[in-house]
Amino acid sequence: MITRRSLLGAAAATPLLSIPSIAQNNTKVLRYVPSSNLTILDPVFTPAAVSITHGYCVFDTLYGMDANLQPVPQMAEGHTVSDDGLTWEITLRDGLMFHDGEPVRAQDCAASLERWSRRDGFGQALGAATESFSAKDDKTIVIKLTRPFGRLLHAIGKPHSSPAMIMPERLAKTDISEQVTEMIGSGPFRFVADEYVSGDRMVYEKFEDYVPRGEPAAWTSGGKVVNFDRVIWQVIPDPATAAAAIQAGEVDWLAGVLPDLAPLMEAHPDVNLFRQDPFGLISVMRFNHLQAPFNNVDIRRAVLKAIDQTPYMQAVTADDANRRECLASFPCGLPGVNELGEGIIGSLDIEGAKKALQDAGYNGERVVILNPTDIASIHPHGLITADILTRIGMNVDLQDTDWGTVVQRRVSKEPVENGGWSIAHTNWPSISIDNPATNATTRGLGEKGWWGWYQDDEMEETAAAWLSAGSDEEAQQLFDKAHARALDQVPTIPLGQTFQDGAVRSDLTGLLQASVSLFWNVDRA
Amino acid sequence: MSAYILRRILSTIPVVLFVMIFVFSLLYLAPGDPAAILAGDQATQEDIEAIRNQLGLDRSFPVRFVEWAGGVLRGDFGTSIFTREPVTGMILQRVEPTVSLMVVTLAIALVIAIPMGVAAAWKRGSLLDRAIMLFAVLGFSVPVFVVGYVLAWTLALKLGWLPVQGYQPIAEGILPWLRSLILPAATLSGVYIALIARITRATMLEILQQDYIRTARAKGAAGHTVLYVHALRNALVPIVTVVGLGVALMISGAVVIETVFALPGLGRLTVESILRRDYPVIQAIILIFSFVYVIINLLIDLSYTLIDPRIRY
Repeated sequence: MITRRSLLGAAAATPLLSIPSIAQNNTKVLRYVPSSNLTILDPVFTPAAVSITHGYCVFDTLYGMDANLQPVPQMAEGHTVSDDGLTWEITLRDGLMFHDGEPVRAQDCAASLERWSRRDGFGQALGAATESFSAKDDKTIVIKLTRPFGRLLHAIGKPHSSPAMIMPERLAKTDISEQVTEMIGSGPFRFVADEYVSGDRMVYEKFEDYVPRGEPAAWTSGGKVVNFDRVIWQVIPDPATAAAAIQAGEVDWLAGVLPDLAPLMEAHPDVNLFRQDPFGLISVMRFNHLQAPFNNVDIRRAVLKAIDQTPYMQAVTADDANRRECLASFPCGLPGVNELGEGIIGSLDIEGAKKALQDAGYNGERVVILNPTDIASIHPHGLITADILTRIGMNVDLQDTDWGTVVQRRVSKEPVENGGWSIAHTNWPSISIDNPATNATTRGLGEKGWWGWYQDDEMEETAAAWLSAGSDEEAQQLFDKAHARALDQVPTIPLGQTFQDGAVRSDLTGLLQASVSLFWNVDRA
Repeated sequence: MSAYILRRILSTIPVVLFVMIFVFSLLYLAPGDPAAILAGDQATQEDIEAIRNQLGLDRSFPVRFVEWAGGVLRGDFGTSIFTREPVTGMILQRVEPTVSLMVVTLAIALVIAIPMGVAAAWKRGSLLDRAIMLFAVLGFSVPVFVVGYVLAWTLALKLGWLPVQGYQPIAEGILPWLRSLILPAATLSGVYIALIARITRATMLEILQQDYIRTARAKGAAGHTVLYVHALRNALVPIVTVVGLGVALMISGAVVIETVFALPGLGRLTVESILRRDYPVIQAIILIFSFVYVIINLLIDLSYTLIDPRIRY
């Protein structure tokens, strides 16, 4: 006879039998903790690193970057350029498939490039020199230019901040001010939309129909061989909890480790530190060029005299190995970047700065520094700048607020009396500001450009000439010219190069260095 | 009684309406622009304007409010500005961990706090009483995240008994579900135990002085019968009131605990949404929390009639 008690007992016991780990034991799973939550799935719409990491799982690019940061074919088989340099034809390699089973066609690529060229800075530069992106046939993409664009492959192969990722034509037709939310790409992983919980977990499954290239994997190029059936991203907002989770073996890979916790990770026998991005981040102090006092180049130069990069870097890193003084307006260590700022940046000449400030005609205008208290890698910069500017005699108003407010206020072009600002700090992945065209901190587009609205026609002409350069020698000469101009005009003050380490379980092998985490080539020993 | 319940339910309507207007106005006036956050660091003013226009953030306050309030009345909380997912779906995904955390926290708190409070009152002035009150003071004073880290380090990292973080849905089994909740619930229950133990002790001390307790003792009733049948039953009204009021405490505590233990609940969704100015999500969560709070207090009021038959509505 079934009694109420036995029925309740049976009901309570049923879930105990359904522990999923038993059923999933044969599935090879990699557990990854991203550095922040994934909220925007469209990697072209946003330059956010976490969306780019996701993008490289789901999507692929026509060209990838090799270990020397040179563009090499990825989805492409190869390309030809007309004698006048105005027509580029890119041929797709065989075997490319989207996750919905449709073959990748040149029409998909042309539409994707078109959309990307309206969003990304490098893409916009290409777009401005392009007459059309089209398809000659299913395998051949044709890019017709209005003027030569020697850096075209660098543009479409850029590895960070809105790379030119290829999606089906129907998705690529989405307006660029709107996100693509359906995740159909041709990359090595399929996004499992049913299991996506923003703020908690994202799941990727190996795409069985992906055909890797034969070359060894390096950065975003080469054979993207997947060794795990599933990659599960688990969002752990608290860095201490994430550190405990990897020590306990609950996760395999942390994208970032809090500098204070790095020694703990290093000491653990089953955890290794891993430097994902060898070029790190560049911190910058950005001036508002529309308003006094920083619409005066001599005042910007006076401030530059007083700046020493060391305290800025020390405030956000724990060890000398995680920082590098970089006396340049472009990230040190990247191709084409010469350290031209020696004797200009990092002189820490407070008395000289005081005098230069007086000579520049500083009238005691209020300097409003927007300072986000909730971003640990930026907040100390505001404090240090406020101290330095006060020491050289400026009238400083340090305004502590949250990041959400900073990003709103820094687009205000108003004077400080009307809610405007004078200085804000941020940091950039080095790879995303590695040349005169992509470096928003030095570009001189004025009110159409990056916040701060630095206007410099000479800089723009140099950047345009660099993009069109026919030879590497000419390109280097123009690169150095743009660099020297930035050091002279001081649109932004570079505050040093810092490197963040991640952590991985020691049984993981084949991890690739790049500006974001890449999950192919990785295996468990 | 039914008329009272109906009156109370109807009285929630102006409360919820007020919350709707207040929350919407507050977020409208608060600084921060989701379009600027969405657009990212490289964005130009033009990019931000295009996104603002696309999302309808450039429309006037009344237009946006009427559209949102109309949606809410139809049960549609709108779409997340960031993920472009329906807010209702996002909230439903996050309800289970938060409710589970609250239920387990409450269970732990009641099982521990009431006997503690009763024992402290029974042995008033003893070492036991002082130890329990010391525990209560610590429960109030030590921040929950500190307790969380200490428990996680000890029970999860060093002893390996429990997972450090994460949540297992109840559908995957009672044991994994409970294992994933013990640490966070134990951490969150600290404040709650302190609160309930103190109120239990204070009320019991008062009741133990009453004539009917003396009568019960005089009749030869056993000590535990006097305590649990005669005294505790009469002490329940203030205890239940505190439990109800403590729900607000638990909601705010859940925000911290869900972050420390990486539980994908409503608390974390609230923090994330506030930081990125995801207005539709913030509005919906606050509205739901205020509604839940009103309903819980209604249930508490109704429970008085069960605890004390002298109370009538």
